[in-house]
Parts: sequence; structure tokens; C-alpha cells
Amino acid sequence: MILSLLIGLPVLGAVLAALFPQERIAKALALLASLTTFAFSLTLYTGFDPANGGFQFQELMPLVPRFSINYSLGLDGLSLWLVLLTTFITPWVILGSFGMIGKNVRGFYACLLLLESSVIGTLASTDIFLFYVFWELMLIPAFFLIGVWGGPNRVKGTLKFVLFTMAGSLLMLVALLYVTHEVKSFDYTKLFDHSFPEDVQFWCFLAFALAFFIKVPLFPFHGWLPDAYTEAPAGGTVMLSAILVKLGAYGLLRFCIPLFPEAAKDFAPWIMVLAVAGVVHGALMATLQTDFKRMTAYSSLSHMGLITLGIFTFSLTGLEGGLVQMVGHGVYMAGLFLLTGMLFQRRESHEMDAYGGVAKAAPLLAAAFLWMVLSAAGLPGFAGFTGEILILTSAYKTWPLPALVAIAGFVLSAWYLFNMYGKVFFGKGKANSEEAKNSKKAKKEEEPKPLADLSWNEGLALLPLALAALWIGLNANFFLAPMEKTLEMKVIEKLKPPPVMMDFAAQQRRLQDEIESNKKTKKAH
Amino acid sequence: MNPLPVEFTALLPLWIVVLGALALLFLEALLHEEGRKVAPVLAGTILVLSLGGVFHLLSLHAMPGALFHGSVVVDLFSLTLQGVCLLSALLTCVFSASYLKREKAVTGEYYALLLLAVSGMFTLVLAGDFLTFFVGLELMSLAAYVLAGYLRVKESSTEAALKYFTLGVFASGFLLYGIALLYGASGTIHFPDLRIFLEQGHLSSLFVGLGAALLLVGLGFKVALVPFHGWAPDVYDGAPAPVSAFLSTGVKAAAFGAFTRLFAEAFGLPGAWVPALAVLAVLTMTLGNLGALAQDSVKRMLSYSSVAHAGYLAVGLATVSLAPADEVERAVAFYLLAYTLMTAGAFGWIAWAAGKGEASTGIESYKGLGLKYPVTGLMMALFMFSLAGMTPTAGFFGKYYLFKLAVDHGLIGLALVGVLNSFVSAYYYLRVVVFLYMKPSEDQATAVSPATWDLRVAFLLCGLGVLAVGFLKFPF
Repeated sequence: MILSLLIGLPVLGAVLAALFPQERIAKALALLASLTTFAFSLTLYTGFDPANGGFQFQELMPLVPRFSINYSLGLDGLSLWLVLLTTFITPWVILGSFGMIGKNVRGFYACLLLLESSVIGTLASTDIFLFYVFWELMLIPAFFLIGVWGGPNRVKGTLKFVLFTMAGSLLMLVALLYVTHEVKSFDYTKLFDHSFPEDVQFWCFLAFALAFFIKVPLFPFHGWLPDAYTEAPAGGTVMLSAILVKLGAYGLLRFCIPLFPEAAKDFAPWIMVLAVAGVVHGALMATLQTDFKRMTAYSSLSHMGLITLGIFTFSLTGLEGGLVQMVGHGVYMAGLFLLTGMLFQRRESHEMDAYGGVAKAAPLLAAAFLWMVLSAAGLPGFAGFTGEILILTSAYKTWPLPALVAIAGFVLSAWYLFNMYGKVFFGKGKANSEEAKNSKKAKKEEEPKPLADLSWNEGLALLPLALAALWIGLNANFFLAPMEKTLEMKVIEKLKPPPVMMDFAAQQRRLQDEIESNKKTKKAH
Repeated sequence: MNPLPVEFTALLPLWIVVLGALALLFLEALLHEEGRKVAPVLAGTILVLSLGGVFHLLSLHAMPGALFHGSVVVDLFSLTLQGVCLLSALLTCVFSASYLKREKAVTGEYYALLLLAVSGMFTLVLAGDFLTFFVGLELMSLAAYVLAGYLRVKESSTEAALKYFTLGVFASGFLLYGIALLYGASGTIHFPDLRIFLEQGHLSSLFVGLGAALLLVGLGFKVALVPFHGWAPDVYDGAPAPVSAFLSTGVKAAAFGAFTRLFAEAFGLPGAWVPALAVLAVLTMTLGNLGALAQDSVKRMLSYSSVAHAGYLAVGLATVSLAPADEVERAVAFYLLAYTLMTAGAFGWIAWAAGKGEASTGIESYKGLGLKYPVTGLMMALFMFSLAGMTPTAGFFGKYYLFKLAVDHGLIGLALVGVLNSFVSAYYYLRVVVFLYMKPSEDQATAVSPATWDLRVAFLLCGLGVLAVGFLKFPF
């Protein structure tokens, strides 16, 4: 029941937050709901058995009996960390957004919580129909988050985001219809056991992968990203960059590769090239930006390319690196985008030139920002490093050339991040330059107010993120251990030549099924 | 023992509506002013009673089946469609009550006509032979023509009625001629008998082919499939908004029901129907969506979108000679239910939000309404999400079942065109939500008074229905 609880609690919180007329109470309720969800989600970690690669915490309830569509949930090493990432990030997003949202406050928090719920639902579904329902459901709260509370071009940003994503998902729907018609089941494990003919794999892989590539987004499907990230309110950007895009990579790992392994192998080199192209494109675009939110958006794109690269090396190290990097990327991107939002709130601008010397006025804010920049740049000991090094080494072993190019892209990321940091926090900025001072003499009232340092809620929101960024960097094994078994069983085995792996994997699952059915019958008695 | 004959109990919903319609006519004549006040309530009560009858019949374990020597078929499909028609009529009743008061056009015969149309719709979906079919269709259409032109002082309403009537009569001509040819060739008017003759292959293929083609054209007119859709946008746009809700849902659902019944049970043979219906489906979806894309008036957009939705239904219909009849009927019936909830809800919302004389149907005039009226606005957003086919709304499940039918029977290309079309449609539906929530409102421009309680209840019911229908357990 724990997974249903995690899906239901945020919905309850959203309804309560939307109904209470006082904004303060609505905020507090939203925070409370997300914190409770996080607290409950911790039992997932304590109760998780790392030696079991199958689904755990399973739930089953018929949803549409005539088509044997079930409300069936489960968690394995692939989804465990992403669910925990989601429940971990949401409360701090809510807390950090307290001062940022000026209008329709209750709706904002309701949308955030609904988004959290649908993300958890997507990750926990073991019925492919249910997965699709939750997958598309994510669009609705995200649509409102960007469109109602976003920046001046928010409508463009939100429509781009929703329509891009829909285009991919709709094609996936047709493939899903076909696949489930072939297997006559919506159950993930049944689909997993089925091996499709080569040509079916080809088309279905393309249809599924397109949906996930757009979400990740893989170069050149990233058209929606810069606008959506930049226009969304800080909280919305965090949800997008830290959590939503991870679901694209999750979908590749969960569906594309295990269901269509032959096609995945055929496409892997192409995808690796695109992934590296994304790393470089994102990094180059980021160096060109003068708007630091847009820069962070491109850097997020660049780092997501790295995750895709890791996944498509098909080696355990690469896959693990990809998953750890997803968690790490989630944490430091959440920190960076929250901080950008906090800066914006202080001076209504995302232009680097509008700032300068912030470090003096707001030392805590500067320190927190530096912390996140270090993590993003992949300094050893911080979140970015662990995943990055795993991905790059395994990519180098698989195919050296793209890996080297990716490394170059990553070095670039350190450069643009520190460059931005220097400009914003130490530089003079336009506001402080001679020219500006001269004009200021003419218009005294335009002198920017000194920046306030972090308020209590901002500090409290950033602290757990900062600690997590360090924790991931220092204690990678803690994260790797639970996912290893699942990755081996559900991804790597599938990619080995068919006869050996089919027997082994099928046997193991059969055994597990038997054990479970025994358990069920015992319970029934 | 049951003292009443099954012919009476199985058709109870129909009896109730027919007697109710006649009673309302007399009420208007006898009571004048007082009658006008109670008319909507009375009509609503009659419809609810009839709906109760439908639910009772649906809960029976054994369906009565064919009655009156096969002229009437009471089965799951016809009962479900009766339920859909009643739902549409009930919603129309609620939307009309405040609308007609606002437009100062309250008369009793409006509701009598509504009930007469419903009885025609019932007859149509119950039909097991061509005679019943035609009588039902004409009864429904005649009442619908009058309803479309109900605001007779308004030019657009009169124009809508005239167009609807002219083209409707034209279509009836096609239908009648097709029926005559089929009768001439086979000597029977019963659907199952015709099917048997067709299977035996004794009939002249020229007459059967021509007759069936004429029927296809006639029904294509009635449900507005491209290229026979010319009238639909103008009629739905010009008619009073509550009537548009009725015409585009209930009337269309009944016509589609008969269409499906006729083709699944009489012509459901492997043959030329797949390409013909598939072409109609592709044309209807694409042109309907392209038409809707260009509209700035939300009412007109909905009119075109209603054409596009007929196209999605035609995707299901195209499998008629590949899939078992009951599978097609189920998918179509479910879609019609989902479609009725969302489209009737949306037209009803327009009836409210457009203000006096339907002055503001332009999308610009709905700026910020979603934030001004949170609940009512949210319901409209829900209808839009559902029409766009987003999960977890009824619109998604409906499309899912139709496309599933196509994919299961090898029409993957058709399903692909379907999803691409629903992608295009997402743009214009989401645009409405954008205006509702994401554009700053201009204060004086939109002086819509808050919705009355009955309207709010109707919107809420539609909204909840849109959310829940996909997960409910249905007998069909």
C-alpha cells in the first residue's frame, strides 16, 4: 500500500491546498503533505531488498477488467532512486517557492503536488497502460505551472513543452497498442518476457524512443527545452529539470532497451553520437548565453546528454553511472534553479549584467550558489562527479572518440559555470560600471537596492539539497548497491545473445512468481 | 408473474418520453404562463424517469432482444445509446432553462420538441428494420430542425435551421432511395434477413451496392462526415448554444448508433467498406481539425471539432467488416458517451459564458475567466483536455478503444492518422485553456454573471463524468 500512499498523499495535499482560502495555511498544508510523503518514502529504502531484482512493494487491483488493465504498482532498482529523488526534491521546491509566487498561490502548490503524484505514479506503474495514463497526466499540472506562473513568454514556453511531449507520446500510444495486442497483456513482466520479431522491434523502438528522447531531451529533439525552462517559474523549472526529464531516461531503461533489445543494439551508435552532440551543443549554447537561467537550462541539456551516453554504453558501469548521474543532476539542478529563482526575485532579471558583487551583499546565497556550481561542474566529492566519471570511463571503453568529445564538452561546462558565477557574484555588472553610475546620477531612483541574503525558508530549502549533493559525491556505493541487481537482470541480461539470457531471466522470474503466488495463497488461508 | 407484456416494459423509456412530450404540448395549451415555468422541471423529471427505466433494463441479466417481429431491438447497445441520448437531453434542459430566460424566449413547446426529438432518437437506435429506422430518423430530424431555428428573430439561428432542413431533407432522400433499392433487391426490410441474403450471395450486386452506397451517403450527411459535412459548422454555430449541445451530441449519437447498427449487422461483410470508411475517416478527422484550427470563435471551433470527432468514430466504424459487431458497438457506444459529456459540457459552458445574445463567443472574451470563476473555469479546462484526448479523461479512453480496435484489426495506418490528428487538435483545445488561465483579464470586457446553481451542478456532473467514466465498470 506504500506506493499508493505516496501517490495519494500529494493529491490529498493538493486538494486541501486548493480548498483552503488562506494562502498561508495552503502553503503550510502543501509543505506538510510533501514532507509526509517524503517521510513515508523513506520506508521504501529501508524495506528495499537489494538482492531482489524484481518488483517489490507490489500492488494489484483490476482497473478496466474487460481489457485486463490493472492498477498494478511495483518498485525495483531502476525506479527506487527516482521515486526517492522526487519525494526528496518536492518539499524543498515548495519551501523555496514561498516568497516567489505572487498570484493564485493555492493553485501553484496544488499543481506542484499533482505533478509530484503523477511522477511517482509513472515510476511505480508496472502496467504499461497505467504508465501511459500517468505519463500523460504529468503534462496537465506542468502545463499550468509554466503557463500561469511563468515569465513573459510563458504561453509559448508551455505550449511548446506540452505539444512536443504530446507528439512523442501519441506515437508511443500506437506502438503501445500494437505491442499489447501482440502480447495480449498490459503487464510489464509479460511484455518483458516476450521477444518481438526484428521488424516490430525496429518500429516500436523508434516510436517509444521518440517519446522518451523528446522528454530527455536528446539532441535534436530539445526544441522545447530552452523556452520551457526559462519561462517557467523557478519551482516549475526545478520540477522539469530535476525530475520530469529523468523520466525520459527512465523510459529508455524501462521500456525501450529491455523490450526491444535488438533494435536498441542497432540504434546504440547513432544514439551515442546524438548524445555527445547534445553534450557539446548544450555546452556551446550555454557559453553564449547572457541570461543565466537560460545558461543553466542549456547546461542541464548538456548534462542530460551525458546520461543518455552512459545508458547506451550498455555496460553495468555506464548504466549505473547514468542512474547515479540522474539523481545527482536532479539534486544540483534543483539547487541551481532554485537559486536562480531567488536571485530573480531580488532583482527581477536573469541577465548576468544586472548583477555583480552579489557575494558581498549576500554571502550565504553566494556560498550556496558556489556549492551547487561546484557540484554541477563535477568537482570530485560532489554530486556531479560520481556519475560523470562512471559514464565517461565506460563510454571510453565502448567507443573512445565520442567519449573524448564528451569530456571536452564537460570541461567547457566548468568554464561557463565559473564564468557566470564570477560575473554575477564578483563582477561589477552593468549596474556598477562607470557608465551606469553616470546615468544613475541623473536618475537616482534607479539605483538597485542592495540584495538581501537568504531568508529562513530559502536557507532551509537549500540546506538539504546541498547536503545531498555532498552525500552523493562522497558515498556513491550507497546509491549503487540497490540498483545493481535490477540493472543486471532487467537490462544487461536482455542485451546478451537471446538463448542464454531468455532461459535464465525467465526462470528466475518464474521462480519469483511461484514464491509470490505461494505467499498469496498463504495469505488467503 | 409479470402482468405487463414485454413489449411494454422493454420500451418503457420510450413510452415515458412520448407521453411526456404530448403532455407538455397540452400543458402549454392549457396553462399558458404557469406552464412555461414548470415546463423545464417537468421535462427534466420525465427524462430522469426515462433514464431510470434505461438503468433498470440495463441491470437485467437477459436482454429482451428483438420485439415486434424484429422491428425493434432492445439490447445493450441500443440501451446504452438511449442512456447517452437522455444524458444529452437532460444537460440541454438544464442549459436551456437559464439560456432561454436570459434570451427572453421562454415557451413550453421548446421542451416538448426536445422530448419529441428524444423519442425519435430512441426509435432510431432501437430500429431493427428500415421502416422503424426511417420513422425514427425523420421524427428526430423534424424536431431538431425546429429547435435549430428556435430563436426565430435571430438571423444566424434561422439560417442554421434553413441549412439544416434543406440538407437534412436531401440526405433523407438519399436514405429513402437506398432503402428502396435494397428492398427491391432483397424483398426484406429487416437487417438480419438482409444479412442472410447477402451472405448467400443471391442478390443483384448492382442494386445492393448502389443501395448501400446511398445509405452511406445519407448517413454520412446525418453524422456530418467529410465531404458531406458542409452544413455542420454553420448549423452548430448558428443554433442557440444549448441546442448546439443537443444537436452535436444526442442527435449525432443516435445517428451514429443507427449507422453502426446498420453496417455492423446488415452490411458487416468482408468487402469494400474498409477502404471507403477509412477514407471518410481520414478526410473527416483532418478537415475537421484543420477547420477548427483556424477559428477564433470558440463556438465555431467546437462545431468543427465535432466534425473531427465524427472522424475518430469513423475510425472505429472502418473495422466494421473486420471485427465482431459487438466489439465495434462497444467502442462506438463508449466514445459517444465520453463525447456527449465533454461536448455538451463545452457547448453548455459557451451558452453561459457568451452572455446575452451570445455576444461573446470569441476566444479573446474568455481571458482570465478560469481564474475569475475557479470551479466553472476548471470544468471547461477539463472538457478541453478531454476533447484533446489527454489522460485520464473520458476522451482519452474513448479514443484509446477506437484506435485499439483499428490496430487490433490491422489498420495501423488509420490509427496513426488518428493520433496525429489528435495532436493537431491538442493545439486548439489547449489554446482555450491558455486564454482561460494564462492571459490577463480585461475587467469591463467580460461582464459574465456567475453561473446559476443548476448550471454549476450540470458542469460539475459533466466534469466528474469526464474524469470518472474511463474507470467505471460498464455492463457493455
